[in-house]
Amino acid sequence: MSLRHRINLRRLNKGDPEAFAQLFDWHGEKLFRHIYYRVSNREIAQDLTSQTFLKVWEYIIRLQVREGDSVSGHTVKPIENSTAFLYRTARNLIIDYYRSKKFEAVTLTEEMEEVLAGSDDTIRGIDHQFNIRRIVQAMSVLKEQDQELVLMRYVNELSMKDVIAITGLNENTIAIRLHRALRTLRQTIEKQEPLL
Amino acid sequence: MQFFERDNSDILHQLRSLERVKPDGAWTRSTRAQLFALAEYEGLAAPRHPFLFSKMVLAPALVVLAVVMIIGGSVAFAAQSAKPDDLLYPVKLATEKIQETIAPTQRAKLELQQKFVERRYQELAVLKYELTLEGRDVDEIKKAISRNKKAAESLLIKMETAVPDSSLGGLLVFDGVLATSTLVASTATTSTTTAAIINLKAEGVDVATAVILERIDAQIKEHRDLLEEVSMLTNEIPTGTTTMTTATSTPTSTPVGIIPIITVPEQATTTTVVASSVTSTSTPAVTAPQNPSITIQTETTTNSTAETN
Repeated sequence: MSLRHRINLRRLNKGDPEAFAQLFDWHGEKLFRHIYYRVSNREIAQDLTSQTFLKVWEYIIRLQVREGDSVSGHTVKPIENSTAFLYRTARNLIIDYYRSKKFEAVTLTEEMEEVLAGSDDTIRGIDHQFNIRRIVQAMSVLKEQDQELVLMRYVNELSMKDVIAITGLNENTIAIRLHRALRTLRQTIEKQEPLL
Repeated sequence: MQFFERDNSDILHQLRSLERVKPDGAWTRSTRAQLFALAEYEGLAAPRHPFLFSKMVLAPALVVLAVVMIIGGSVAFAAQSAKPDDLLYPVKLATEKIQETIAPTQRAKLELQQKFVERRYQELAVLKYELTLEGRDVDEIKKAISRNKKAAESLLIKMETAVPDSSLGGLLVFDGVLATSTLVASTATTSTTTAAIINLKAEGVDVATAVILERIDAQIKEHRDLLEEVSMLTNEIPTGTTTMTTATSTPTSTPVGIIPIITVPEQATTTTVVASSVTSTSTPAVTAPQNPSITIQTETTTNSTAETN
């Protein structure tokens, strides 16, 4: 963690609104992306991203009032890694979302078609569209947990430390899973190519 | 980078293109604004300490705070009229110190210090007057004088060492004129005052600052003179209670007029009146009062006795 991030974390734990806004600037977009590739819906992803930040803020407020107390089996203590805290919170919200009734199965590829048709400025180039379509299709082959790992490590480029903190897995396990995931992606893409 | 990542760099490159999917710009902006507004609102209201601000403690604490503020406020208010020999005198000094500390500019600070030195004058003048009265505890008055001296000294030192800053430079010419007229009027003729004002108008703000500083210097000198005079007086009077001669021999002269306006201390006058009534009615049980509050009570008693007589 850089000095900047450490200072921000310290301020965040004290309930500093500016530190919180800074956290959004650093992670808002990435977190949206992470959630988006999991829930396959832009609006829901935006909604879950906002909710994630709200949850984090709620925790910070609780920390000011009840530091050291035990709330539903967990001790309220200062956040040690804000990135990990955010992604873990998002993960719980995604799980809740999947469990809820409102969930309608939309595959990532279907949603992607929509997004690509809507054509964001950033993904207008044909090559980019081609790349994205291809890799998203390949991703859907992966197990959910591996998808999450790939998104964190290779799309949002989180540090190994953060990924460990988020998933609770050890470094070797993560490396093995990533290795397998990349191999699967390669095989899937290679199989796709003659069709395209 | 791990070995398998090197082998799959093309895949990694493709994966990175997923980064291009972004939330709507409008959503990002509005969400950030909303989150910040919420955090600012709650962050400001957020209790800083788990114990002090828990709900169970907060309500009683507020009540206690209110009581303390009311009592503290009344005490501080009552202390404003405290004399150096009063119990509340330190409270008065403390209140002044707080006012000084929170003064926003150097100028405001100086103005307050001037005001407080003026107060020290008046206190000292009253003490000096009391020294000449019969039946007063000279030791007590001497102690009060040294308390007053200490307070005044610290103010004078602060004023002497005050560095005029931009806030002083920003004084209005009008203020300077007022200052000069007050200063000059006490020492010089009207024509010089007018001349000084004209000069001021011509030279502007910096002169005004100079005049303020000059006035302060004069004030400092005046106070030092008075202090010296009082210490000489206290040395002349032996310790213990001043002996009562006759009530009529109470000095009628007002304090030496170093300060332009000195209100004749009310309580001291009362003492004189009561002392004379006491002697004239020859009430044996009543002795000359040492405490102003007792003085007033005694006065009423003697007055009513006089009426019934």
